[in-house]
Amino acid sequence: MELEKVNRLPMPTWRYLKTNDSQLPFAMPARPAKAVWSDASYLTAGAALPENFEGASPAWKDAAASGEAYTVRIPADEKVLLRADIVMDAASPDYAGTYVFRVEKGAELRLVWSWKGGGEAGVCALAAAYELEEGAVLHVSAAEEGLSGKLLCTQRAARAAAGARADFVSADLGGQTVITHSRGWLEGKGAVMHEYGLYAAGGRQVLDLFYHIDHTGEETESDIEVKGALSGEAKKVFRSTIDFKRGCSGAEGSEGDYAIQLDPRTKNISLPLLLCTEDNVSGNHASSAGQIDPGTVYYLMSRGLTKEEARRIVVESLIRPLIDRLDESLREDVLAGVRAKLDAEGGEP
Amino acid sequence: MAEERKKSRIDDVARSIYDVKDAVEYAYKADAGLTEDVVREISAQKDEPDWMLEKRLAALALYRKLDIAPWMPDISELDMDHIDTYVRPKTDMKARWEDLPENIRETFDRLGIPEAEKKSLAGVGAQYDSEVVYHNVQEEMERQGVIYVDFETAVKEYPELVKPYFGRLITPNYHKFAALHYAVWSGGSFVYVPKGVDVKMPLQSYFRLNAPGAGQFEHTLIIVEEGAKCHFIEGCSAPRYNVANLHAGAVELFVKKGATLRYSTIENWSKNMYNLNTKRALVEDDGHMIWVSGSFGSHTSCLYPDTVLAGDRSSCEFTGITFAGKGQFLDTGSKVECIGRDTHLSIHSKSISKGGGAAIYRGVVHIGPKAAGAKGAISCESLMLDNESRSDTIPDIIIENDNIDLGHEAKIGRIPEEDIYYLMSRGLSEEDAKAMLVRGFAEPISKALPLEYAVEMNRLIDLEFEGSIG
Repeated sequence: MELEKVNRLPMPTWRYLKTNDSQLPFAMPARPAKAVWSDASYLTAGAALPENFEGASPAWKDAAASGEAYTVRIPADEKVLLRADIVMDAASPDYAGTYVFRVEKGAELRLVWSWKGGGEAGVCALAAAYELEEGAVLHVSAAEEGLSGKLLCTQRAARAAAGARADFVSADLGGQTVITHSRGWLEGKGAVMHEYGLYAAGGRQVLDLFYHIDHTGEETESDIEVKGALSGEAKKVFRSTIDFKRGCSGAEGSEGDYAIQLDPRTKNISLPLLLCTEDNVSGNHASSAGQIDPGTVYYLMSRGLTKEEARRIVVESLIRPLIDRLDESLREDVLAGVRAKLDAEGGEP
Repeated sequence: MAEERKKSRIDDVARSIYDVKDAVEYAYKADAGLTEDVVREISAQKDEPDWMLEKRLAALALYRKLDIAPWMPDISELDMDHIDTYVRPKTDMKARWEDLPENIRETFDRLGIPEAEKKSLAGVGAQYDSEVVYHNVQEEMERQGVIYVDFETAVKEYPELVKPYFGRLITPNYHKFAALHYAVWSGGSFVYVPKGVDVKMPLQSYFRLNAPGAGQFEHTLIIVEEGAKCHFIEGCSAPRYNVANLHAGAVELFVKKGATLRYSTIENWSKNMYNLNTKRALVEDDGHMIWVSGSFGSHTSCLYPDTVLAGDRSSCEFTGITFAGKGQFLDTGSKVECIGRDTHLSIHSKSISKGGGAAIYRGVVHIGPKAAGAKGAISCESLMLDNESRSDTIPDIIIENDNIDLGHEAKIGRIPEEDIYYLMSRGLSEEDAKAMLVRGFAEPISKALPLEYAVEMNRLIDLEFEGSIG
């Protein structure tokens, strides 16, 4: 399969480490499925991504553009719940789509992306731009099931005006290769953006996660938090950047990357960048990596649990707060998916 | 709503004793630029063995082949065609300060080196431009078998010790400026501490670059044998000129089984200096490497002390502070590679930026697949004193096995207003309050230094605050 460089770090570092970007498989979606929307009345055909939409790479942006394209407009002050179900089967194992979401002044959109497949190989490429006007609220939940043979690339960019708030919560359980590229611009005063990602990766899964939020507006707030477990020979790369631009006085941003490694063959790479040209800000980063604390496992086993049950409880306790941030319709399936993954040898369901 | 605080303007100030320029006098100066003839001439001037000339020429070829890393700060004003790579001062090496020419002796007197030697050092080396002009070590050290000599003497008198180690840890292909170093290196220090010897007082090498438009390329090699202990202090400064100066030294440190080496640096190059220095340590079983690093000077710095924890239960600590003022771009940090089992690392980095200066922390911790049992903590704190400046944190953490325990935290922000107001309510001016809080911020680093050097570091911080306007 063709290889493509993705998720380039905005401030590169030593080349010999080979972590400035990732070279991962790429293919064009050949037989794409169609998304089924819970309410299509908000959709109009065609979508023009903003010029500065970067995507994971130009090729992945083109891959997304090769499929369906819609603009979704949520009128001012309306509250809308939308769900997109994308079911890929043997006849249509791929997906390609480009979307522009415009959440107008004071409107609120709760959006659910539900991805399902039957384990067959395939390619999914999604590009979505979210434009939030003043006071708009956006909550996006995404989860997938049965995509173990897929190459997944989710690309998004969000721009928030004054008082707007965007929350993205995604659960990555399947996908042979998962590429996430998320870009945010907090432009208006008091704009807020949260990125929450949870994962349970096993087998030879590769997760390549990229988050980059620019603070330009005053008193803006960002939070990037990614938690999960790696087993088998799984590899996770976390590239996260919070950039406090000059003038974003009073801004606060934090980023966290917490990984439990359940197998000596796992690989865990973390690049949490904090960039700053404004003094009146507060930026924080915290991360931890390592095995499950043996003392905790021993304690739980002394209470009658098996080693596997104890291990599962510890991992669940790490990611449960993020599962709870998902749309309610997805939570049970995600929790069941995490459990199935942890119960399987090497993390392979 | 966040209250906008009135900004202080902090002026650049004269750097007092460090900026005093001596008349530019030399016994020999190589042609400016970097050619094969220049490299051959440096080697001939030093009457070197053939193997060293061959190494120089191979490094020159490599320098021409390697590119400048794309992530590096802009060094386009550094024109190698105008850098004097070798300037030999008008004196040979002395063992008594009073035997040095008056201007050179006065320079080191101003910097307090002879005084420090009397009070608290077991040995001193002083380099002026391209050559070491003073070297002395206490007799007691020599009786214990400690070797502390200038590097050229080591090449000639201890080839059996130098040859196996020289260029082994920092190879010429490590990066472009490492290749440059090996092509034109001159001066530096060699330290050998025999098995089990505890060098109780520090050894110090001080590097002074006086000639405008010159480069300094000293090589430091320290071997601390099994169970031995040593503290080495490196100091450097230069007067300010309107042309670029270059420092591309190399420091290779070998910490054998159960040995401990502390390497302390107070870097205070002038603000026309490009400081592209390279430092690397190899630590064997149960060995312990401690870096204490203060980066205050230079126009542009790229400095990332690198520790290879090759041995089981080997460990390292890095404690560093970077203070970037007007016109400075200081890209500093640390590298740790864990290879042995049950290694331990601790990185504690602080930076302060003001007046348009840029302080960048760049680091990597790589825990390899066989480095089971590795434990570590990384902490980076950045203080922004105004919004003309820049402060970035670029860590890279690569973990290739599960049996590890690593935590990392980073913070960025300004001095808490309530702390300033509290001190002002106690009668301090805003500048005094800020200076006090910055000294407090830097305290973990100053505590890791010997008293005389902690005093120097605090003086440097004070210098940066002099002339401030509220």
